[in-house]
This record gives sequence, structure tokens and C-alpha cells, in this order.
Amino acid sequence: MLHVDKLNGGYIGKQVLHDISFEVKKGELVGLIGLNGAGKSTTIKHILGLLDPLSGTVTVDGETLTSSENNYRKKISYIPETPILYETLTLREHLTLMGKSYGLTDEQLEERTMRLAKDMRMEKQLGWFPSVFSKGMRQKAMILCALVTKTPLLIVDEPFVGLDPLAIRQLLRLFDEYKEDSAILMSTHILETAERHCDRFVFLHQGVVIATGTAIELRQAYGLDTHASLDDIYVEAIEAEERKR
Amino acid sequence: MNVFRQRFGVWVEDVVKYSRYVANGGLLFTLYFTLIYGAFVYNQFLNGLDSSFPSVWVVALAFLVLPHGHRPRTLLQEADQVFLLPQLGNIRAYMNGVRLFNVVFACVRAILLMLVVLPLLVRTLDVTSGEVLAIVLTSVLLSVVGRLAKLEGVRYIGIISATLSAGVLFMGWPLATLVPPLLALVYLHVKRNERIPLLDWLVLEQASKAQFNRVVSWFVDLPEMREDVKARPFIVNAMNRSVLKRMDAARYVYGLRIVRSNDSLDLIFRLALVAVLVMWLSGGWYVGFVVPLFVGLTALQLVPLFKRLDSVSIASWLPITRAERLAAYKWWTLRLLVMQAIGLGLVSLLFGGTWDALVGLVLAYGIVRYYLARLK
Repeated sequence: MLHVDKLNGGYIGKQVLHDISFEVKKGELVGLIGLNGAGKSTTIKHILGLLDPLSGTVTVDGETLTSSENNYRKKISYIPETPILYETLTLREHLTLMGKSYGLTDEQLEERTMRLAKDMRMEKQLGWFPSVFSKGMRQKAMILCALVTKTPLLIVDEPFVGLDPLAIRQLLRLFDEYKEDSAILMSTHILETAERHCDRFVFLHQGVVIATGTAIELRQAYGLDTHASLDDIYVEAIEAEERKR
Repeated sequence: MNVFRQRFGVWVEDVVKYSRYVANGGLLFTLYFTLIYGAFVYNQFLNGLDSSFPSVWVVALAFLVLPHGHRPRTLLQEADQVFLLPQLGNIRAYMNGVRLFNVVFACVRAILLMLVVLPLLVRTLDVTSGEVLAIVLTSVLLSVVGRLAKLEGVRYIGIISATLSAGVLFMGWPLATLVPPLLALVYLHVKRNERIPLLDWLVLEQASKAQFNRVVSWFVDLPEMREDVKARPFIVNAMNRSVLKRMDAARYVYGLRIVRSNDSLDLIFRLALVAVLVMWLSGGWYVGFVVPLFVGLTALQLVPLFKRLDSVSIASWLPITRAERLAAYKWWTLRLLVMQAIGLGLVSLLFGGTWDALVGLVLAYGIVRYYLARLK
């Protein structure tokens, strides 16, 4: 569903990503794991088309940004780390905007809105403006806006920040449901949760992909025993990379 | 270094910097022209006055208006919640600096208003110079009371003292109008905050800074601004049933933002009301030309709003291109401004406009197209 091929990119005058390649298949939840400044958010910005790559390609369900911007964007929904909402629109109006943007029918939108709002305990807040939302509610609102679209690719940047334990559990359940027809790329620091819910991992370090694979594959690759947690694998991967340099 | 002096220095730098942009901005032309036209019309109006004009009512209204609508600056920053906290008990100099700073603002506001109102007063009322001075001082004090009351978190004192002063004026004792605001100042002194009410002052600063930024944004791109929102369920529900339902995503989101933002629909109504007032004052003298002036002033403020709206935008990753967003914003702005122009054009006919109403409408349309073309 998502193919990142030899992507070089970053900001003007500062290259952050170096020859990044990985893929996320339909039905997968892939964890994008890295230290602060490893390039996770930059990778996400390139996939979203918010930054232009220096070289390399990003393909989502066969579309690239250059072939058709609108078709490409219609295949991606996004949950940012920091919620961004229009102060002048209620939650329901945000969802209507998503419906219009992604071409949902009124019936689809209504059915998904009610189901997701119930699942995320946000039914009462549908008519509220973001100015009265708590931090967690704002994050839930962003999650609703993304999930209502049912795009082939969902990109999630640190989704658990600000969420209560119940909401995290519910979100992970929704992700499991969502990925049945789609692919999810999730950037997170919470490795314990990632270990339990991600199908595969992409380890980023200083703008380079240093390892990819399932937890079992990564344990084997770094010679760790079967009890090694994702934390252990990650630390070993970073140390191995730094020894190499 | 004294914290207030440091903050005041930064404020002065900001004001100087933005004043240069504003003074050099080509858009200032519309504003100059409107002010000159307004002054000319007001002069015409004054020439036609006689002693039957109810100047006392106008001065009383000025008294009632002056304590209101103040947005005091406190020069606080969000980080002060953490970094200024240890000093809060020992920062009286900062508070006094802020009070003095706001007193100056309040005085300037009152004097500007009195510059407009006083000619009315001296032409139509038989008052001594001492009484005129008392009225001016009362205005200044009422303005100061209104501003300081917000800083100290004391409610109603402004309206009470203004009402009393207006009452005393109606009783024919202009010299005594000074007493209520003086008593209010004493009361404010007694009730003053001993420590900075940090959160309240932060809210005041944010509101005031937003207003400053709003004015600057008419001339300079200043994307990071707070948005004041009004729900307006009646208008939105009516629009949802008709226009919004059929619209694409970009027109939908800008439609709602324009309707609910304090800076768009409210602005059109406010300026339209002022335009009607100017038409009335002009007594039918080329009244049609008021239309392009005020439509131009509205456009001057509405057009830069797009950049501000666009900067806080989830639309950047949605399948809505910038071209579509721009087209949607222009679509709404054009319609709103044309509606304002037509409305004002019709009103100008009521005030005696003839061929000038038609010319005014054509000019207004040209100005709207000019400003919209600048939006890229």
C-alpha cells in the first residue's frame, strides 16, 4: 500500500533523511520507531506531501504526488502528534468537512460518525467547538476525523499522547479494525504498546533505516533471546549501528 | 534589569517596526482617503448645526462609551506562568508600570474622542472654558477608570461612574461630572491587586495582542493570530439547509469560518453601520462615494484574513489544493463584499444619492476586484 523508495529529504539546507526505503502492506500496522530527531516526523511529512523530496519516490496505492495530487491525498488520512482543529468548526462540522474532502456519501458519513463517536466516547461532544475541548478530547477529535475517512493508508504520529488508558485501548481496537482493509504507519515512542500491536517495525536512526522486520525477525537479526522486549531490540539496534560507525 | 522596562522596550520595538510597514503599505491609501473624507463630511455637518442639536446627549453617550471596550496590555507572556512565578510576590514595580502604561492609552483614547465631540459642544452649548475643561477631564478619567477596572478585575465600576457623570451633566452641573470618576479611582486604588493575577492578566494580554495583530495584519502578513468565534446557530443552520450542503470542502470550511469569525461578518456589519452614519452626516453630499470607501476598507481587512485562516489549516494534508482554498475564499469574499456594496448603494439612494450611487457601486466593484487580485 505504501512504498517509500530511496527517499532523500529534509528541510531547505538540511538533509535529514538518507536513502530511506520501506513498505507497509495492506492489513499491516507498522511501527516507525526512532529516537528524538531520528527523522520520523520528517518521513511522515514527506509521505503526506508537505515536504518535497530531494530524490526518491513515495507511492501510495499506486499513486504518487506528482501523478495526481488530489488522488494521492485522497488515499491518506493523518493523525498528527499535536491536534490541529479549526476553532470556528464544531466536531461534527469537522467530520462533515472530512466527508466532503474524501467524497463520502451522507449516509456513510453519518454511520461512521455515530459509530466512531460512540466508540471514542465523543457523542456528546459532536456539537462542541474545539475551544472547550480538553487536550485528550482534541486528540480524540483528530482520531475521529482520520478514521471516518477509511482511506487505504492511515498515518499516525504519536497517537497516545494525552489519551486516557481506556481511550488508548479503544484506539488500538479501532486500528485493528481499520487495518483489515487498509495499512497503518504509526510513529511512537511507547515501545511496549507498539510491541503488542504492530505487525512490523521500521527502526530509524539519524535519518537512516537501520532495521525492519517483525519482532521475531529483529530478535534473530541481533542475536537476542526470545524474551527480549522491543526496548531491548531497539537499544541493541542503536548500539550496533553506532559500533558500525 | 527591571522586567517591565524590558517588556516595554520590546513593545516599543514592535510598534516602531510595524508602524514602518503600515506607513509604507500601499493599502494605507484607502484609510487616508476615508479619514480625509470623514473629516470633510464632519466639517460640513458642523457648519449646519444650531443650538437645538442635543449635544448634551452626545457628551453623555461619550461618557458611557469611554469606560468600555478597553483591552489593557499587561505585557505578560505564557512562559511567565513558570518563570515569573517565584517573583510574583515581589513585583509591584511591574504592576505599577503596567498600570501607568494603560493609563496613558486610556488618556489618548479619551482625548481622541473629545477632539471629535468638543466642536459639537462648544458650537451648540453655552459653557464656560472651566466647564469644557471639566468635561474633558471627566472623559479622560472615565476612560482611565474603565481600563484600570479591567486590570484590577473590578466589574461595574466603569458603568456606574459613567452613568452618574452623565446624570450630573443632565442636571446642568458640568463641573461636578468629575466627582464620580474620582471616587471610582479611589475605590480602584483600595481594591487594587497586591499580586499579579497571572492568568487574568495573561488573558487580557492575549486579547489585546490579538487586536493589535489584527490591525497590523491589514497591512502586513501576520499569520499567527487568535480567532474569536461566535456560534451563530441560526445563520449556520439556515446555511446548512441551503448553501453549505451542496458546497465542496473548501467552500464549506471557509463559509463556516467567515460566518463565525469575529473578523469577517461582524466586520462587514460594523463598517456598513459606520458608512450609514457617514452618509447621514454628509447630508446627501456625493453620498454614493461613501460606498466604495467603506467597501474598500472592508476589503482591505478581509483579504489578508485568508493568509491567517490558511496558516491554521488541517487542509494542508487534506485533498484540497491551495488553489481550491484560494478560489473558495475569493468566492465568499466577493459575494459578501458585493452584497455590502449593493446594500450601501441602496441606502445611499435613501440619503439622496443619484448618479453618484451608480458610480460608487462601479468603483466599489473595481476596488473589490483589485484587492482580490492581490490575493495569491
